[in-house]
Amino acid sequence: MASGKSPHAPSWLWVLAPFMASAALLPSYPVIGSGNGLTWSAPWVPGLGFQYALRLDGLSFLFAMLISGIGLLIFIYARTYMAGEPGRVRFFSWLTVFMASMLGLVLSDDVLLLFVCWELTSVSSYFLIGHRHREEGSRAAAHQALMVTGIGGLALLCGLLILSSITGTTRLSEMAGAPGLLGNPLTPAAVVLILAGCCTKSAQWPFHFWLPNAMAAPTPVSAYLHSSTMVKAGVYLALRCHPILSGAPGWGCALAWLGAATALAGTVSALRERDMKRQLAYLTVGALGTLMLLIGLGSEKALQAVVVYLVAHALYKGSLFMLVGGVDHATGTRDASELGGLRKVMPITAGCAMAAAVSLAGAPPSMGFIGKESLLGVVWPATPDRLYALVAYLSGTIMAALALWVALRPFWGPTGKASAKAHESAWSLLCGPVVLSVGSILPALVPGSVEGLLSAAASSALGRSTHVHLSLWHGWGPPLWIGLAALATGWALYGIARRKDAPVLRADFPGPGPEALYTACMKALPEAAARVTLCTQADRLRDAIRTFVVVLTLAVGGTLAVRGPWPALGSIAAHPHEIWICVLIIVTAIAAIRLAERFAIVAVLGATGLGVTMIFVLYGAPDLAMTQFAVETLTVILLALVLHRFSMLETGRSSSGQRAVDLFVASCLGVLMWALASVALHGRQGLSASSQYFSETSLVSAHGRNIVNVIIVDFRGIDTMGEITVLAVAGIGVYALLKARLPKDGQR
Amino acid sequence: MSPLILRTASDLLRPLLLLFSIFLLLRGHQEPGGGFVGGLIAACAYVLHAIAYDVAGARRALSIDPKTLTGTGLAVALSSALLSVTLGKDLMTGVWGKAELPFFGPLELGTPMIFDVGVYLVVMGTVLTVFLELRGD
Amino acid sequence: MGAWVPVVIGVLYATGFYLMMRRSIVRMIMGLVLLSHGTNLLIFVSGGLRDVVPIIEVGARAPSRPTADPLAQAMILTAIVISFAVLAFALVLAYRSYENIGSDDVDELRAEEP
Repeated sequence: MASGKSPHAPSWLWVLAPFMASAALLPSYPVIGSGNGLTWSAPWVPGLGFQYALRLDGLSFLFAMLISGIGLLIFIYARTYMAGEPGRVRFFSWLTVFMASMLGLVLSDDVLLLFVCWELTSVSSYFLIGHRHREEGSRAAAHQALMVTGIGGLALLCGLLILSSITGTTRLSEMAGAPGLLGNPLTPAAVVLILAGCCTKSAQWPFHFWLPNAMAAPTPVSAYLHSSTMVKAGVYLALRCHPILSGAPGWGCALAWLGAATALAGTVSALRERDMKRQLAYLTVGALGTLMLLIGLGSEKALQAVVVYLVAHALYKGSLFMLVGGVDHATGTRDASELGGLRKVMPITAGCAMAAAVSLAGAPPSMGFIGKESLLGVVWPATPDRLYALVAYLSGTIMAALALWVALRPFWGPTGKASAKAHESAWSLLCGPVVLSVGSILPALVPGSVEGLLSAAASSALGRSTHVHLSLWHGWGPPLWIGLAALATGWALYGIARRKDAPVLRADFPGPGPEALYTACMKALPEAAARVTLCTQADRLRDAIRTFVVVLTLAVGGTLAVRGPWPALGSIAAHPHEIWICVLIIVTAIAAIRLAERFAIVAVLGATGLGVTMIFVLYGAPDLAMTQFAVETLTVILLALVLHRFSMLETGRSSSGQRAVDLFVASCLGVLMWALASVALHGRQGLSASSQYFSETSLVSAHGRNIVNVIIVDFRGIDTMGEITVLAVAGIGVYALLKARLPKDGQR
Repeated sequence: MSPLILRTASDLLRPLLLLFSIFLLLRGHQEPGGGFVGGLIAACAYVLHAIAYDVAGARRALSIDPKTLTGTGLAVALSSALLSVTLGKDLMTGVWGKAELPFFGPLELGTPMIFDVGVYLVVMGTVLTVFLELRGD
Repeated sequence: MGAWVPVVIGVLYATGFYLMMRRSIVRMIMGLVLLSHGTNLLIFVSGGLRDVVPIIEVGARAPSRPTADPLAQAMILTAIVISFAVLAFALVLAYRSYENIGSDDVDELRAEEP
C-alpha cells in the first residue's frame, strides 16, 4: 500500500505464510505423483525411540495442498473480513499456528509428533472459536470444542501408544503389516481409542454437536478449520491407519456404522436450522459421516471414492462458507429467509454460490456429482451394503434441498428486508470463493488435471498402487437413478421449505440428544469432584495429617510385618558419651512437646539440633556437622526473631481425649520409624554400588579428595543446581510474603 | 542492655568469619567444607552485625543487595555448568586446569569449584534475604 | 550403639508428628524441625554407621578403609540447608497469617477462608 497508513498493510505479511507453504510443497509433486514418498527425520527422544519424523506421500500431499492452498485463499479473505475487528494480530497468529500444526499433523510419521500437532490444532481451534471472547456464546462454544476434541485427543494418544508398543515402532509408515498386530489382545483397545480420537475430531455422532456450535467463530475460521481442514484430521487419521488396522476386528464395521449414523444425524439436523452457517456445519457433519462410512467399507473403490468426495467437499464447502460470510458482511444476517433478490447487487457472489451448490447437491457437472456417483457405485453393488445406499440417498436429498436453499433463496425472488443496503463484496472477499467454486466444477470437466494427485492419495490410503478415474458418465444403472432421485426429492423438499419460508423441521426435533448429556456431565463433574474432595480430604490440616500418619503406619507397618525383614536390634553397648547424646535428643524432643513457653521450646529445639550435630561428628560426617551447626545457630535466631512477634503461642488447645489419640497415633508411627531405621541400618553392610563408585573415582576423575563435596558439586551437580534454585525461590518467597501486604479490611 | 560487647565482638568477628567462610569454600573440594557451609558462615557474619547494630548497618556493611547475591550465585553456577557445553562436552562435565602459584605451589582449578562459588553466593544471599527482611520489617 | 540411633529416629518422628497435629501453627512448624532431623538421621543410618570420614588421604587414590557413606551425606547436606529455607518460609507464612487473623490457631484460620 502506497500510503503506508492502511490498516491492512501489515496483514499482507500473514498471507506470506500459506503462500510459502504451498510454494515449498509444489516442487515435490513429481516425486509424489510417481508413487514415492519423501521422508526426513531428526532425533527427539532417542531413549524412547521418538523422532521428529516427517513423511510426505500421496495422502499427506493431498491434505497439505488443501491446507496450504485453501489457507492462502482464507488468509486473503480474512484480511478483509477481519479488518476493523479488535485482536487481529492474535487472530492471524493463531490462524498461522493452526496452519503450521495442521501441516505438521498430516506430515508427521511419528505417533507422538502426530499427537502433539493434533492437540495443537485443537488448541488453536479453541482460541479461534473463542476469538470474540467477550461473547458468552463464543467462550462456551470454544470450551465445548476443546473439551470434546481434547478428550478424544487423550484417547488417541493412548491408542497410538498401544499401537506402537504392539508393533515395536513409533513410525506410522512401518506399522502396516507388523507381525502379531492383528492377533494381539490389545489391538481392539487400540482400535476403540483411535476411533474415539478420529470421531471426536471429525465430529462423528454422538460427538458431532461441537461443530455447529463452533460456528460462533469468525467465518474465515469456520470456512478453514471447521469445514475444509481441521475436521478432516479424523478422516485423515482413519485413512492413515487404514492400511495398519483394516484387518483388525471391528475397525471397518464400527467406522461404517458410525459414519452412516453421522451422515443421517448431521443432514437431518441441518433441516432444523435457520442460520446458514449452522446449516452448512450440519451438512459438513453429514459429509464427514459419509467419508467415514466409505473408509469403513474399505474396498479399493471405496477409498477412491473417499478422496474424490473429500476434495469435492473441501472445495464447495470452503467456498459456500466464505460466500455466506460475505453475505453476512453485506447484509448483517445469515438467515436466508430474511434475504432475497441479492443476485442483482451481488452477481459474482450469486454465481459462485450457484456453482458451489451444484457440487454440494451432487448435480452434474461437478466434483460433488462424481463423488456422489462413486459413493453410490460403492454401496449399491454389494448386497449387504444396500442399507448404506438408503443413507446416501437420504443425505443426498437433504444436501440437495439445502444447496438450493443456500444458493437460491438469498439471491432470487423479491428483495428481502435485510437485502436493502447490500453491496457486492470486495474482490478480496470474492477471490477465495471464485477459485474454490471454479475448482468444484472444472476438474469434473477436465478430469486429467487432478487424477494423478487423487490416485497418489488413494494409493497411500490403500497401501498399494491404484488409479482414480474421474468420469461424469458412469453409465446407466442404479447409482445414477438413485442420484437423480435424490436430486428430485431434494427439489421437492426445497419446495416445502420455500413455502414455509422456515426450517423444514422444528427446532426441538428430535428432543434431547448427546449435547444434553454432555452438558449434564459437565455440570455434574465439578459437583462430583467437590463431593469426592469433601469425602477424602479432611477439612482441617491436622485431620489430614492424622489420616496420613495412620495410613502410612498401617500400610508400611503391615508390609513390614507380613513380608519382613524383622528389625534387628543391634548392640546396646556403646560409649557413655554416645548414649548421653542419644538421651539428650530424646529428652529435648519430648520436652518440645511438653513445654508451653515458646522461647523454652526454641532453646530445647536448639539442643536437639546440637545432639544431631554430635551424631554427625561421631560417625564420620564433618561436613554435615559443620552445616548442621551453622544452620542450627541460624534457626534459633530465626525462631527467636519471628516468635517474639507472636503475642501468644496457643489460643486453643485440643481436648485431652484428642491429645491422647494423637499421642497414640504418633507413637505408633515412632515405633514404625524405629523399625524402619533398624532394618535400614542392619540391612546392608558396606557401601552401595553408587557410593562405592563415587569413592573410587572422586580423586581420579573429579580431582577432589572430599568425596561428599565432589558428589555435591560434580557427580550430582545438576541436583544441586536444582536445590540452590529451590533455595533462591524460597528466599524470594519470604521476601514477597513480607513485602506484599494484603489490604486489610479496606485500609491501606 | 547496652550491646557494646556484642558490637565490639561483631566488629572483630565479622572479618574473621568472612575469611573463615572463604577458607571453607576454597578447601571444600579436598577437606571438610564447601559452598553450603561457607555460605552459611558468611551469612552468619552479617546476621551478627544486624543483631549487634541494625539492619541498615548490615546492609551498608554488605553494600550489595542480598537478592543480587542470590541471582549472581545462580548465574555463576549455571555458567560453570554451561562452560563444558561450549567445549563440546556434556552439561556439567568438569573442566580442570592447573596453575602454579608463588608461595602456595601447584593449584588445581576446575568448573566444579566455580559451581561451589555459585552455591556459596546463593546460600549467603538467601539466608541474608530472609534475615534482613525479617529484621527490617 | 546400633540400637540407640533408631530409637532416636523413632522419638523424633513421633514427637514431630505429634506437634504437626496441634492447633497452633507455631507448634506445627516446630514439629517440622523435629521431622527434618528425624528424616536426615534416617537417611544417615541407611548408609550405615561408620566412623571413618569419607575423605581420601593425601597420596592415596581411593579410601583404603570402608568409610561412612558419602552419598547419604551429600543428600543430607543439601537437605539441611533446604529444610532451613522451608522453615523460614513456613515461619513467615505463619507470621503473615497471624498478622492478618490475630491468632496462631489453625481453626481460626479455617474460619477466615471464604
